[in-house]
Amino acid sequence: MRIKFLHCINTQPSPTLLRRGRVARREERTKSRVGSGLLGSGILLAFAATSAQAQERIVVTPPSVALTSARDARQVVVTGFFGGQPRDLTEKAVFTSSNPKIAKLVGSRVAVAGDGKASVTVKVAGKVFTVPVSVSGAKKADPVRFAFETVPILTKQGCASGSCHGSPHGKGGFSLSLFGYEPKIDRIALTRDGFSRRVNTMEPAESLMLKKPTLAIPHVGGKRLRVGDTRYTTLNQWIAEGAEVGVPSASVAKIEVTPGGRRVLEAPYKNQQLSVIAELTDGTKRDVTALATYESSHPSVASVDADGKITGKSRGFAAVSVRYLDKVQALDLTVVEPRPSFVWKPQPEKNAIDGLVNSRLKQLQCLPAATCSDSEFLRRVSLDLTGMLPGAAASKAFLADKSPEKRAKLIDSLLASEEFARFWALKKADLMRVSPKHLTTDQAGRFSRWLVEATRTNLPYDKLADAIITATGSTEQSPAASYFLAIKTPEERTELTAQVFLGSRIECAKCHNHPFENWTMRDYYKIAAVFARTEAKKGQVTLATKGEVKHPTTGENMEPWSKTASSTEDRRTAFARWLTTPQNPFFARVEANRIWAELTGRGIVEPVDDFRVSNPPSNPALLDWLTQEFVKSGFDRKKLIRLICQSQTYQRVAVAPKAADEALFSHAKVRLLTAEQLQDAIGATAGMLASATTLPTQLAALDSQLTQRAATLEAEYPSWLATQTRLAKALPLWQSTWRDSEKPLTDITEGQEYRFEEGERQTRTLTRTIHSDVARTVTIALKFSDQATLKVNGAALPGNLKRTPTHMLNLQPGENTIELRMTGDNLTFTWKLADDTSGLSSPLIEALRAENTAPVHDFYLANDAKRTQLLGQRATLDDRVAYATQRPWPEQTAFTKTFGQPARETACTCERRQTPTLLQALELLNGRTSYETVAAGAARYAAFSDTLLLDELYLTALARFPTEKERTVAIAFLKNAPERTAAVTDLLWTVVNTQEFLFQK
Amino acid sequence: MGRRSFLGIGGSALGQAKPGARAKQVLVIFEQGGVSHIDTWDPKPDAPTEHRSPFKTIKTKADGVYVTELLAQTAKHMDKIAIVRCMTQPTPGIGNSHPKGSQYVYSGEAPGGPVEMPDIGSIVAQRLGTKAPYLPAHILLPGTDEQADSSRIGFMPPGFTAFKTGGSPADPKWQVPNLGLLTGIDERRFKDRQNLLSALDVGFVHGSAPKDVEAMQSLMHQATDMLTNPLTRKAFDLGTESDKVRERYGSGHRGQCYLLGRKLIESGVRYVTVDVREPMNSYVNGKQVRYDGGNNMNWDHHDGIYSKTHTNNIPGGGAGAGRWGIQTWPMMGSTDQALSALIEDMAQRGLLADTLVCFVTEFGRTPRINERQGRDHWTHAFSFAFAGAGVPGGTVIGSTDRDGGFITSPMAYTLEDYGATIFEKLGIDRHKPIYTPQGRPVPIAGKGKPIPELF
Repeated sequence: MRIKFLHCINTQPSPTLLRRGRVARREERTKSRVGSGLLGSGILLAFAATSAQAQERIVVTPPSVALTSARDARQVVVTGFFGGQPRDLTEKAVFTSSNPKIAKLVGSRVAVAGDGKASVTVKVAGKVFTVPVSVSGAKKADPVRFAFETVPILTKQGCASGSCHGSPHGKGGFSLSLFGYEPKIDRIALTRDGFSRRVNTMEPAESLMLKKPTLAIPHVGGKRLRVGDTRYTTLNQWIAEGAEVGVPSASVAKIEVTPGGRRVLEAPYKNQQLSVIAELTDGTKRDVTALATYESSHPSVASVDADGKITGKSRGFAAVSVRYLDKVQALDLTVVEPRPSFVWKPQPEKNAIDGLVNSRLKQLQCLPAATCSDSEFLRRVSLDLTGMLPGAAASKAFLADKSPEKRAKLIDSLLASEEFARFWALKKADLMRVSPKHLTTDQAGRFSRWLVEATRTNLPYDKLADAIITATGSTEQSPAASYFLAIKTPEERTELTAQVFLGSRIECAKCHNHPFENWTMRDYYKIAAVFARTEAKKGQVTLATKGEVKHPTTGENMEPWSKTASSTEDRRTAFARWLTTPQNPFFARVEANRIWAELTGRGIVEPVDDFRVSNPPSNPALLDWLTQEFVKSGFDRKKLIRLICQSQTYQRVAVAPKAADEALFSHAKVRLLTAEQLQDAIGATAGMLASATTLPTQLAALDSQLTQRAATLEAEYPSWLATQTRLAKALPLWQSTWRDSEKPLTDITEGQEYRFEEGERQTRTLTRTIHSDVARTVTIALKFSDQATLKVNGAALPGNLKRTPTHMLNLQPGENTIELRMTGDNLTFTWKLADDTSGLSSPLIEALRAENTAPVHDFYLANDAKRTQLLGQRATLDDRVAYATQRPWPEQTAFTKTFGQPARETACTCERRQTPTLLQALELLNGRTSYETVAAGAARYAAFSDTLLLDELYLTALARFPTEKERTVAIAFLKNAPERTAAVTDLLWTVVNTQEFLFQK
Repeated sequence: MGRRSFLGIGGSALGQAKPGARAKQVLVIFEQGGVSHIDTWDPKPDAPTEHRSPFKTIKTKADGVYVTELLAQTAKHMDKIAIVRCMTQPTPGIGNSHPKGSQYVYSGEAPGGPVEMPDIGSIVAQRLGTKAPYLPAHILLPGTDEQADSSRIGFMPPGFTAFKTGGSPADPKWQVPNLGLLTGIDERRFKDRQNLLSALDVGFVHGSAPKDVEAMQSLMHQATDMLTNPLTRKAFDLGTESDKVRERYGSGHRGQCYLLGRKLIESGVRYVTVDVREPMNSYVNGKQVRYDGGNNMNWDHHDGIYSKTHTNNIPGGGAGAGRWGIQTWPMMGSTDQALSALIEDMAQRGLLADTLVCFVTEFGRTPRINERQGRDHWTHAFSFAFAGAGVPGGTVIGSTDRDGGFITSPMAYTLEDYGATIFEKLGIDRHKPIYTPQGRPVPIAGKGKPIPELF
């Protein structure tokens, strides 16, 4: 056997890598490790295998051990490579010390016994390795360090968790900082509050801190420590040493977890020992394997014990996160269990997606489902891409089409449709709070149209993100500025941006670092600093030259997340640059995953906006590939959607056999239609919602009616103008247009509530004149939202204007100046001069009197009821108001809310609830909306013959012809019913209540 | 239950109570607006004359327990009632308004925290599920729009939202909307539809149905049961009660609401909140009556608290206008009648054994009478009353000073403690948090402790 020692290889992240993204660093390290086939650092013994297999190697980490203080220890990890696959041999190795008086062994940990040099022999798989050990400082005092040992132990034992003693609801009067992130608080909790009882330095074992968790006295939290454990001993020693709570000069710079990256656990190698080394900012390193906290994302797949030993439990994937103080690392695990009867069958593959999905399925031994039928595919892809059912005619044509390319052609035509642009814009609008609660109607409308336009033109996703994040100006010039108008504090913008573009739920980090999350409080406030100078006022986004965000605990001004190129550069521009770099570890990956989830019903990382090391992707290679393709294509969303829809994986049948694995995409997922899809589907099935393809024709018809009306109006204009001019000039009493600092406010309508666009507290002074032929007293009806004063000819009306709804004004002959000054939030006011009965608006009177023809003509047209009605119809059609899936800003109806339409209060996709509820069942069975819709559509169907009726109904509702059995049952039902329309209503009701209708499969 | 695995299925039995739980269901009488504690549960005969309540202090069936004469009928059942006179809002700025204060009472948690908390009843429905599958597990009656706004589902799935009956149960024509079939769909037609549906709704997917499909199917069965089970309508049908019982409760709006509360508890509803507000146009004995001047008849007596009719036309008034004086029939008159009937009736029917009855309000009223002869909001001290489910009757818990302004007893209990009390009585493990959809654990009644004297 040839034994070869290789140099220790320490793969530090490249300094040119993306700044700060610890995930990026981890992944990069994983890649380099995979690339070189080496562990982070260790002895590597390579030997020629006796079998025909590839070279087999065993690695012992670390190659040598240097222990430098009395309580120092080092975890040893032994890894064997079988056919290139790493397997943990730590548990199978036998460890012996050459001198237990110097180096003693506790399992596979080397601990201090006395100063000197020794070695540890590792016997494994018939081979022997030697690890030299040097020990120094064994006799010197080694006091327990509060910040690096006591606090991690309390966290590890669960004391500092939110449901126990973690702030703010510490139980039993003992309140620690949440997960040990605020040693300052812990110092006070441990020593100052009830000092003598909790911590008894004279008799450490009598401390409540030790008696409670060992159950020497009752403890609500149960047993947490065992007397004599390392952690017990450490706490005991800390108390005996006087419970020092000093502030350390260094902090943790990083932790190194061995192994890192990804591992497969396969019997008989179902364990994995971890080793964790903490490196402090002062350069010292310490083994913290016994102090770190471990958590498995899926304990039923792989569990992990307090000493960092992972045990594979059942087939699947999991991530084990390792945390020491504020540093987190994770190891992704796949647990493979041979299924005795499992035989992989070669699968059809349409593109690279299928290869990646299938190899994961093969690894985890699960056979994918067969290809879905044409009608299943048609209904599925139509709902996914346009939100709407395909319609009877399209269904019939597609089913009859014999072309082998018909599925691909359908995907292309749907992607090119206006319906696609609108439906996919809705998904983005959901996350960006496009709602009248946060924006004015105009702002929401502009932002919506902009999102539709961006989707229609397939604006590359990096450009889209950049345009949103750097939006400046008014929403007329820059519709995406509404992103900043809808939410105004830097903190809320941080959370929204992180969730939408980084797929990270960062909000926990507003108040505390989160266990098993990469985002710290510092990260949070650094992103917040990006938005500190973005002001949203009076419907405009402007940039301030000053403005900082302070860290709430330390009080320091935070540097923005991305360094600006110059002192004057918009911080957001620098952030957008960082965000949209192809190498950004989140941006492309998060969007690729979102698109995947929209189409398959489940993210590869699920939930889609919860990317963190402790939430592993179900198929990492697939997500890597999709991300890479997405970046390579220049962030082309349509291209990625097309790729996914074309894959065999997307076109599988929906089954629920026991072997199916939803997370691995072995079959199509059955999904409840979304609120908007369901509302439109019921409307379309009843025939009450015309197919969107008819819209251009309908619009053309309206346009021709409008042209006709315009001609009529022009013919009547001269006589109307003459009459009105005479009337206006002879008015005994009239008001001029309201002005705000000389600017006429022509959109104020007499007697109707006027709302100022700006919602914040403000003062507005409006002026107008009232012209009267004689001195007289008139009555004004005035309502306003907060405070107001009213001056007539410079004299203020006495008393509180709120007391009465009407006010008497004394007018002089001629011009009377009126000044209305109002202050408040969300200002509104209504003004009506009761004595003016002319029915003409102030701007019109002014224009008529001045014989200013252009505005008069405009008013003439605008006041024609017939024309207004036609224009209204046109706008309704153009805006697709009747189609819930076709409006990025759909109406929130009781029906849609019941079916989980989000109120757009958060950026979380979880706000759209897709779990069936009792209220939904009641709405479906007995709801007015669905009942009235089907009842209204019944007459049309009733006129058809039974066969035609059933074909039309099933093709519309389910994109297929009825089966013979369905035909028989339905026809018998119609025949036996006393009244045909009522029976057809019942039949329509029944079909829209079938599971096949409510779900897409 | 896993971090993210809770189902949004209302009404199905999901959880279990701890063994030894004293209550199986809860009836909350929420008298909204801030009932004056010193005019009812906490008499102050020694208060300064100019601010003293005009109502006499009277003895009750329980030795040493006194209330005012406005509770004369309830006093006869004081042996079953525990009065907590040391209720307080720890951070008065939060719950000192009616919308926030009401939300505080509904959720047992101060509004404005990092997440919006669901009602206590919604958490109970999620944890314990329903006792009667054909009825919602959590009902709010009658639930006007204003009340409905204080009741929140917060971050929980919508399936646990309070079911609001709406309307006026005292109206002879009243029916629960949404639990009856739509007009034009009689039972026969509904049944025909159901038969057609079961004939056509088959073979959706091969093998066993996916989880959501199965859930929807079972919910549809439950919904069908709700719509057609005669027991559902019976639970809401006051016509099944004898005239004697209906009159005993008081045949107006409040009495009939309290009676309906008892009926729903008896029918197996887990958590019922009665939130009464006498409408201006009401019913007595099935006939319309009109309380002139009363346009918002809650307990917000800022003006003319001792007015013999309505409180309009009080000089300088405003905030308290549109109510009736506290001693009038639509206020304490009907309340004393209905509450005494409720306690008596529930005791006779054996319902008090495992039903916790809570009489609550958002705060008390000032010890001093203001210049408009009213009393303003007072969050420092107020009174709640409890009965049933092992609550020791005839006891008074806590005390306040000479004019009822501040708590003098060593103990003081908060609205959070009230929430914790309900969970504890029901045997719900408060140490098990509920999770937001983002997976954040949220403690239930996290800041509260059960009121020990009620156990």
